Amino acid sequence: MLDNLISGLGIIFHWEHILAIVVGSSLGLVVGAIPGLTATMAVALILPMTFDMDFVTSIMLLVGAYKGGIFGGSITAILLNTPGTPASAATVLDGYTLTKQGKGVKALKMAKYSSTLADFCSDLVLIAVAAPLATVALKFGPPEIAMLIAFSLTIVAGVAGKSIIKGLIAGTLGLLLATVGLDPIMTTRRLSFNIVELDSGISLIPLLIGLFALSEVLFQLGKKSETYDDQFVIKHSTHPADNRVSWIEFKRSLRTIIRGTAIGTGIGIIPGIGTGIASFMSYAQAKRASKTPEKFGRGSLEGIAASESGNSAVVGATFIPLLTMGIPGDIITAVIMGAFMIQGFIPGPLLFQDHSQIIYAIFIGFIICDIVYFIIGTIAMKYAAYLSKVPRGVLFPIVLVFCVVGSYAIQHSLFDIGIMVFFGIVGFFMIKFGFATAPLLIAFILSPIGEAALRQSLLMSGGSLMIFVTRPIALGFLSLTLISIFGIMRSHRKRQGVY
Amino acid sequence: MTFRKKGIMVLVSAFILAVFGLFTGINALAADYPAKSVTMYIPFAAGGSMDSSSRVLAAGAEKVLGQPFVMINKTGGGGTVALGVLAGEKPDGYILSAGTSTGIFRIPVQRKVPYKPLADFTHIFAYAAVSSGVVVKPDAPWQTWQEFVDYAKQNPAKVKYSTAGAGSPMHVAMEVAGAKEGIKWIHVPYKGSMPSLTAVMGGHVEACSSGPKFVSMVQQGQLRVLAVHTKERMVEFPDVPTFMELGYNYLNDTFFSVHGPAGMDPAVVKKLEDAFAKSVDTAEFKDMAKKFALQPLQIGSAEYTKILEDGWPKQVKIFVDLGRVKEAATQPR
Repeated sequence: MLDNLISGLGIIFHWEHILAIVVGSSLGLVVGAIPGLTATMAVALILPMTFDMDFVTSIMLLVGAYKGGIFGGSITAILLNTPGTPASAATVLDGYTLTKQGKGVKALKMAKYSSTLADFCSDLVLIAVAAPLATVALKFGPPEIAMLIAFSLTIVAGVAGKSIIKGLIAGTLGLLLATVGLDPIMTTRRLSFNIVELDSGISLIPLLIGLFALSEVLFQLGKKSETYDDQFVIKHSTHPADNRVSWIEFKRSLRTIIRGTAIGTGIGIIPGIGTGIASFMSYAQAKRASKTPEKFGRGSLEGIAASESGNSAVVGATFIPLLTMGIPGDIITAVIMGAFMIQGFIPGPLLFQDHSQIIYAIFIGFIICDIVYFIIGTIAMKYAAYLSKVPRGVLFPIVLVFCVVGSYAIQHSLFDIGIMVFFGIVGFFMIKFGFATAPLLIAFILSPIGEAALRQSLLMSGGSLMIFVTRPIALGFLSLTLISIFGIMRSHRKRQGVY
Repeated sequence: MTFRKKGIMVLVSAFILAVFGLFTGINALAADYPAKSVTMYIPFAAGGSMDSSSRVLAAGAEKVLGQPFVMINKTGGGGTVALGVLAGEKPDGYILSAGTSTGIFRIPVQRKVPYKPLADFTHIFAYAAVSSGVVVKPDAPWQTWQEFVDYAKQNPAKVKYSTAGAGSPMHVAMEVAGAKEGIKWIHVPYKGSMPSLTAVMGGHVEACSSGPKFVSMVQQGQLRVLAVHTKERMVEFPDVPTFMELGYNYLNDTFFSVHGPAGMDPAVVKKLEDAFAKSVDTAEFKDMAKKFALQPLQIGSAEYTKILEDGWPKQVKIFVDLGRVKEAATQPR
């Protein structure tokens, strides 16, 4: 492996490749940072441009956009409560609260440090153990995935906000919405009223933009500016302590970052799970393990560290099932896989055997991406301070325009704009009535994977539920689920007892 | 000049301009086609085989026609959303869509779609066929299709096979074979080809009835192929029998093709056919076809339309016999 790495270094350090990394990361960062536009859009738009390029250049352009896009999405999540990708949806929980307290820059910096560190570690894992880990991933069949999803659904409790019951209702709504479309086994139309655009289900990105971004725009529309200061949404405190992350603060969050990295890497390795869940799972686990769980959701730096490390670690790790088994975790990785294939690099174990130098060159490129977006992010953040001078009346109409553009651009579909508007209204009412929107998103993302896995498992076992108990990994996750539910009920009762 | 004279002059000029405009409109239809860029919808997501193949096809056609193709991904519904939009467009030759024969005579039979598959389109050209076949793990105990079938007969309801989705030709093929041999095997659908293939590699199912992705994997030794669904034996696997040879009257007739709205000018269609045919002949196209395990085709409009029209009643019969529908879900005309 060492000689592959050395050859890889030689391949990656060419000016076109480095330029591709810088351009890709910057583009991704800027697009992701604009509320309403997403990393998905950036990558999908860049892809056709890469067909005539050299392989490494094209991959670095796309991966740079991917990584930059996720980080950019976090910027807008923190400053405007409008996540740029599903991965950043957990960051709004604490990030936006900190911004309202004037500590937006502190939140951004914590996000930057956690993201880069986690990304870096996960890329190292990718380099070191990609091929052997693939055989572990092959063992994950439908029963294992079904139980993992069951466990993941319990994290809804961690992000439900004040009322668990309302969180469960939101989650159930998410499960229900995910059934719209063709069912995964029999392809029967469900809840789609014969509208062909709904056959593939409700599109995730328009739903995300509507539920989080548009709802916030609508909410802001309803607010009156009582004082001159009210019209500035992004508060910017000039107190120096509010604009940096001190070493002590960082150290306190270090364990969270490590845990988030581990969780993100673990989730990324499992084929077909995708990046949306990692940040929430990391957040929920951090909350459980924290000494100050009541701070989560109220502007806790640990919360940001958790969600950001989770969503960044998953990016590198998700290339393991992608390259070794050809299973993409989400749209972006599917697009990148297409870029691999059209250049003749077919995912599979032989990819590492036949083209190891180029693959390792790309992995090293991942690490360079991390460094680049750290630098670009630092520069970008200087401009974030200027945003605080933009009055609400100007800022949010611009956000609204981008929401519409971002929803249309994914599938060139006017219908998706309708979805975005619909969920903007839904989100608005959810906020008004005290429902957390995160559980809906989590359940919506997890449900299709979980339902398919559950039904595939039952098909495999001939209808017997024992399949979840006889297979060791599945049994492991089932136990984790039960422990998790038990733990949540106990802490809930404890909280009730105190009052 | 009096008002009246001015008015008459305006009227006459407007009339002359309108007549000229009409002529230019008529001329633009055939002789000058294409006079501007042509838009083509791609009904599947970026990065997949349909996306890549249609882009390469368009790039080759651009050189012949002298105008750029604007490719737009309009995904959804297994390809039916793009076709639905296409059905409502003007047949002036400037809006086309890539598509599959599945979107014309398979999906509409199984569920209602917002277009009339045989009446709403001009089927212009079929440019590739997909291969498919049944694969098992390389260390599986069955060396031939016959051994596999015998095992399945002796172990009813024990053999599981995966596919990329219910209702696909790969699924139907296994059901047809199962019906003929009297085997009850269990279908476990996955979302997409790769997950269905990794399921068989991971030992979660015994076999996979798979689309073209299996070709490179068999060649790399990760899978063994027992039978194929193509019309003739595959060049890559000369020893592997086809389903037709084995006595199951079924083959995978999925074509990648280009369509336009109904009522296109035949001269325009001919120009497009020629351009696409030349594009298929290029080295770039053949290279891409090899990478995605597609078989290049040059089937023109008349022949392709006939294939689709003859195929419709056949597909209806297959799905009715399998019990998936009682009658076609969409009217073809």
